[in-house]
Amino acid sequence: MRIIVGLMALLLAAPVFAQQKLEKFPFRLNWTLYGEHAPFFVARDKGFYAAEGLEVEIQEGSGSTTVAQLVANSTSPVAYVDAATMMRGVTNGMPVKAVGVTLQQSPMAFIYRADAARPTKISEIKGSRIAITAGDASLAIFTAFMGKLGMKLEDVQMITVANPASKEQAVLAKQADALLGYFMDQGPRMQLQTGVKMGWTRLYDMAGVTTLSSAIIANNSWSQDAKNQDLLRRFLRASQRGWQYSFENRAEAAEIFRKAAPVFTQEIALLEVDGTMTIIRTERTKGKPIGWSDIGDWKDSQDLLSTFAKLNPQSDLNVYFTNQFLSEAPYLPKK
Amino acid sequence: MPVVNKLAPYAGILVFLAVWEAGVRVFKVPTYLMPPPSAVAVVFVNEFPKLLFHGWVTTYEMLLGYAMAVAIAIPLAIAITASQRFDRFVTPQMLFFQVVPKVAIAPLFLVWFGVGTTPKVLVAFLISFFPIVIDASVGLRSMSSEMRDLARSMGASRWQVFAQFRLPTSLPYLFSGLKVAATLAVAGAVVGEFVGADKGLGYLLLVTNSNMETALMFATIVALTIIGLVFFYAVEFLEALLIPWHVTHRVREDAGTM
Repeated sequence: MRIIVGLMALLLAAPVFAQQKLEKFPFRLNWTLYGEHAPFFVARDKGFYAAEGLEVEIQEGSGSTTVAQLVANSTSPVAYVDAATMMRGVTNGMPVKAVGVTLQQSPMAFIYRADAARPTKISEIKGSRIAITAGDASLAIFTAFMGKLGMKLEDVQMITVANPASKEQAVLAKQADALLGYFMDQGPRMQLQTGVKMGWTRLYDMAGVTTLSSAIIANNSWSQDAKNQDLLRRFLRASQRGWQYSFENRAEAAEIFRKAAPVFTQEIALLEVDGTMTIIRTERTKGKPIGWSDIGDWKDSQDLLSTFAKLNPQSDLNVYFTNQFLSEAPYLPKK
Repeated sequence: MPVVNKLAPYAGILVFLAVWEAGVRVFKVPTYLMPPPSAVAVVFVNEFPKLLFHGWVTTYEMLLGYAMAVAIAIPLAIAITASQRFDRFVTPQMLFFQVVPKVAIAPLFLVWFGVGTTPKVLVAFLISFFPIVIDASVGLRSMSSEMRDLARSMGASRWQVFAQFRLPTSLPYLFSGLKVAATLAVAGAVVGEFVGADKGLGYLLLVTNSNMETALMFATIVALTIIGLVFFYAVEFLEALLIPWHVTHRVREDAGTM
């Protein structure tokens, strides 16, 4: 219904546009759906993408490493990936680059059952059983986290599982003490789906460890092409608009998101959108357009990862990112 | 000439490695895609203690699963061939469990048995069980009726017919099943570890892939290959000890003297 209304509005606003066919644009997410993705659905449902002449197909992913590999081999030229994970890929030769950083602080957290809360402080980390999903965003930052605390990965009993749901099952069944996930994702959602009360502690709160987080990344050879650059600009502009709209209209964003992810209740979806909106900028990017990242934050992320997580530092930080395809507020289509 | 023949497989491997090394260097293949074999070798040596630890875990799971499969499959095959009724009773279910993809049920094992050794052993067991039962049953049925009549006419008891005629004739078939199962058992243990684990080579594969430590990942694959090969040849060695009379061994000797 909403789409139809959106399309009708578009038809009225731009009759010349009427016959123009929308260009298909696949966009792969980092993970199965959670509240952080709401702004992309907002951009789609409010017709922001259509206004840019795009028909965006939002696809789910199964972890940042895996998705970054899909971008590197051009299966999905544009995708949503954890920045720290992407940095590791870039230093290993992946031809990818961040074109917009939507989460600029790390939401990574230990998520545990409230009735068996562990680890809640640094002294409880050693020997804890920590579940991660192989190929997701957690390993890069967790390695840095342990390094900063003077520990090694081997100091915890790390349990790797193959798919997103399994690490949640492992914690619920008490086979693991905690999982590494996003404080605004797994915690609230698991509580909702199972009724088990969950708790969480952010790595940032424990040891001040943070990096740039979720980013829209693109394949380098794909983004060389002038036609693709134009597509990318339009996609980013509409996405920025979706993020801005979601920032201002949290409840409506949660509602729109729930149409794509009906398992969420309004309460949980809103909680996740709210949590997401607290970490979309750093001190350095206050007042900048959404998605715009500062080279100083890239430097900090690289310093952390190279000091503690064996990342091979790059002298030119511009290999990681570019702001050139982003637009200034209010992110409206160019006429 | 014989020396050249003996060296041929090694030369083949060396050429393969040289082409790989040269290819990676010439075409500047990024490390996240494919490391040069020299880098893999260096990592293999440097990380050997780690590989040994995780390799032992996987070997242990594999051997346990395989031993369970042998211990259950062979008596089952004997029962199936001894009684048609039992055959009809048990075979359809066995087939059903074989057809269900192990990869699909492995995540259930994680929920039921946790991340310990049990689910890996079970996957290794399930995956190596079927070929042993099938080949052992075929083997046990392979004795000709003339042979049985001959044994009976010489006054052999039912037990003697089984132990001295039926069982030995079945061995070549049984061993081909055991060899197939040996290669599958390694895969089974790794599949089990993929689903959820805190140690083992399958775990190491996932972590290294996740961290884009491609060289260590390839070293892990090499370690897995070595384990698989050693196990396969161990079973084949056992076969040569137990049935040196069998046609496959005779043929090879003939070929050697020609």
